[in-house]
Amino acid sequence: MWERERLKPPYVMLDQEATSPVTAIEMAPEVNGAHMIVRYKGHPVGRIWFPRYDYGGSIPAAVVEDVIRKQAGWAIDQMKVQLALENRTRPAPTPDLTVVVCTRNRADLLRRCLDSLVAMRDARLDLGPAIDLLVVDNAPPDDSTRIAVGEFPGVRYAMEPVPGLDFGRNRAIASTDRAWLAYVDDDAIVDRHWLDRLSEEIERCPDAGCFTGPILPMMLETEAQLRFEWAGGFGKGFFWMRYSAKSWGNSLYPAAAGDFGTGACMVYATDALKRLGLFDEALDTGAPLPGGGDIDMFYRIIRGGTSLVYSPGLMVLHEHRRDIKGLRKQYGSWGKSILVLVRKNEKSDPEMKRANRRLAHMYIKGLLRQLAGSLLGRGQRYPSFVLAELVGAAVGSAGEYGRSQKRVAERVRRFRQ
Amino acid sequence: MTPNSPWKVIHVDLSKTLTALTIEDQFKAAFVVYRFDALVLGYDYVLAEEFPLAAAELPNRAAAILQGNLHSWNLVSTGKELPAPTPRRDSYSLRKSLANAPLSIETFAARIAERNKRPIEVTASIVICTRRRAQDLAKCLDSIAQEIAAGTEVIVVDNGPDAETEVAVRAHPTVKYVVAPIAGLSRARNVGVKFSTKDVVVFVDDDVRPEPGWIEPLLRNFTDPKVAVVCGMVLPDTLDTAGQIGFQFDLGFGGMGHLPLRFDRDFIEGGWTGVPVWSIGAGANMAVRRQSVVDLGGFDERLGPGALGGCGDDSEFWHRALFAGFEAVYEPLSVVRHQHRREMKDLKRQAYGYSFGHSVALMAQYARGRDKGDLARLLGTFPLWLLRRLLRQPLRAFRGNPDILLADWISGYVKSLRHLGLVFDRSPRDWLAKDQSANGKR
Repeated sequence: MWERERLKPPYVMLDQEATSPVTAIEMAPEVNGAHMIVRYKGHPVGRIWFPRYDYGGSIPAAVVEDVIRKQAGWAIDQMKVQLALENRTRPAPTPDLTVVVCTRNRADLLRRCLDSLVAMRDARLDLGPAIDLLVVDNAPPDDSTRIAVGEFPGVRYAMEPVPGLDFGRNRAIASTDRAWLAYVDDDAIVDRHWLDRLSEEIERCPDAGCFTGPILPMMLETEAQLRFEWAGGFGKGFFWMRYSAKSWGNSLYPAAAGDFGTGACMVYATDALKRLGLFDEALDTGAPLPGGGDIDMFYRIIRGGTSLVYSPGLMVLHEHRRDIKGLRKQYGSWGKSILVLVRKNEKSDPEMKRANRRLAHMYIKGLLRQLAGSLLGRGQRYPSFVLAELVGAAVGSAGEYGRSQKRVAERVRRFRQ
Repeated sequence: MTPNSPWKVIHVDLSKTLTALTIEDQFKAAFVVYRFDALVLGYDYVLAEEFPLAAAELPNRAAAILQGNLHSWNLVSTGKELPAPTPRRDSYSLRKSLANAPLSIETFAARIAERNKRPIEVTASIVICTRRRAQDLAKCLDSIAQEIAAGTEVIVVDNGPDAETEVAVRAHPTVKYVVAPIAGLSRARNVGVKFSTKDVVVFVDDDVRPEPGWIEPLLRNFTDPKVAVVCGMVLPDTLDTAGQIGFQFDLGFGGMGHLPLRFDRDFIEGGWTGVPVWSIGAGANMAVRRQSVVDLGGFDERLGPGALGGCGDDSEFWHRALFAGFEAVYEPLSVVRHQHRREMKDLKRQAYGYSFGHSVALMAQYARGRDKGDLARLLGTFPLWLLRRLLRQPLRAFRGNPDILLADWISGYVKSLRHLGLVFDRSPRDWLAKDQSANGKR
């Protein structure tokens, strides 16, 4: 039932470079599996699960190698072809970039995130001007965030008094004069090659309005983290894509904007954000509507006529929610955001009304099918997760956006008087 | 959900420095052909809205599309020899076995270079069969100007015949002009074979523009005396109209993939529904060994455009050659561009012709080869395939995507049944020995 045997935490995190020799996997007695990110010359090309349930606790190198070849062999080959055709002879120059972390009262997580960002900045000082690092402190109850930022030289601090993630994101836009603005979540760290890849992507597609990347787990220590990641997590695959105004043979496009990326890692052309009128502050407000701002902006980027690039090289590692209750809430929030956005876009973008309606239909249909399967014990998601998503969708569909707008207006009055 | 016409056809040579791709305003989409030198490695479909494509983004796009295509060339053993024989019905599944072959672009390029270094040990004449398409023919002759200048024997067989065609040919003094007044592509081909004085006859359709260097890869395969037929790649020249787009994608005209393939006894044995000779190639880019054609009695003059109609003149010959113990080769390094018919009604006629011609060719093949598989296909799997298409039609129509060629496919098949008598016609024939007084005037 719900893959209980396979999904026993904890899993260890492995990182395998395809050009290096493969070693055997030896799990400690308390470890129940391994999660491996596979790279080719540093470029992420795939991830592979090694549950103890399937492979046992001690997996010989030959087996590991075989599994890698079977599951990621073709992705490795694809990357080989790509790099050979690209034939890059010099590293791309560092872009004119601000990386912003929007945070609220999570100083410890923030320190971990800033550690990775500062290391990334300092590793590229010879390749152009240093990137700008900024922390936006959202409605801080104390000065713990300010103190934490003070420990990192060169990291700027800004404060946004009105609570709400998108207020924070908009504060960041106002606080930078750089051409590119990257958002990284405070509960994430960037991959060691992140800035190299971003520099290449910006050199490749300087006209793009947005870049996104895969969000992979930083650790899989609890059942909630394992279940979430195994059920798909934030996964959007490992294949480079450039999304433009239209897509060949996809009638839902671009209504299903959740496929383009995730808010934990997104990079925008600052002027595109300004042109599109900033993040929608009625989304990402925290309870009761804690999501949607990222997907909304992806949708507007595409509808605004600029392209969006998904690059597997822009990988961040994210600390997923640790408790089952929090995970259930997260699924509920997904359901809410998706339907809120469908409703919002139906009104604001009549041309896409049909696509948005169809998205809602297919989404609900898919959830109902999942619920049926889940009730029979199939899949990795408990029925309560799917149910939470369905309830969220129902609430989101029933005027939640309007209510959120009112709440936010009230909030602005209160905090900006 | 496919975009409207016209589409632009863009060739991207991955072995050269890549440049950004742009599209003119009139085009709604682009059909991008990724190539490595002459070799076609994959296709990309890009909407006008996605343009321009930066040069630096082409490696990413191409890599996703090529996937295993590059390194599947490791199958082509040393590149010098012919590829291993293709087991029956397996010509498309080769790549499955390749998932993990090693790869580097340098090795791949070396393979192709090596394959291009094989010696040519035969002489060749180019035969262009034409019928009342003087303008197309003139363009076709222009595209082989290099061969004409080099002194290759070029014979135009006028199956019209008409004065305009003659004028177009006379513009090139070294090109021979021959008439074959009785309509029929097979007849014209036979006349061309008779007048040819060289080892190999390279057929070029009048609506085809060969790419420079298309002929040598064909000829290199004739070093092996068992090889009687070599076919090459056919690409669309333009995709300007809905008719042309339908020709390419609904009829599936042309390309047989990126791997050299070799067809011999293994290919004709072990199945029960007829040898899929159509997967060997297309008559629009075909070379035959002259002596084998003579030995096998020429192309069947009852079949093909201008005679009974449709197609099958080429594939029936391949069938006969394979059963006689000869071999056929598909050579992807030889590329011609075909000017698809522009009008929708031509597309429909072509679908009709394919269905009719295929069916009639099966009859002729059975009469001669007695392979029960051909009969099984004629009376079993082919009509069943049509029936399945018919049964799907209501759903497709409901979804707003009806199968526009369905009626033509079915009527082609039904009308072909009037010629069922061909199945019993076992008299041996030698089309080349026949008195050709009417055909072949200089």
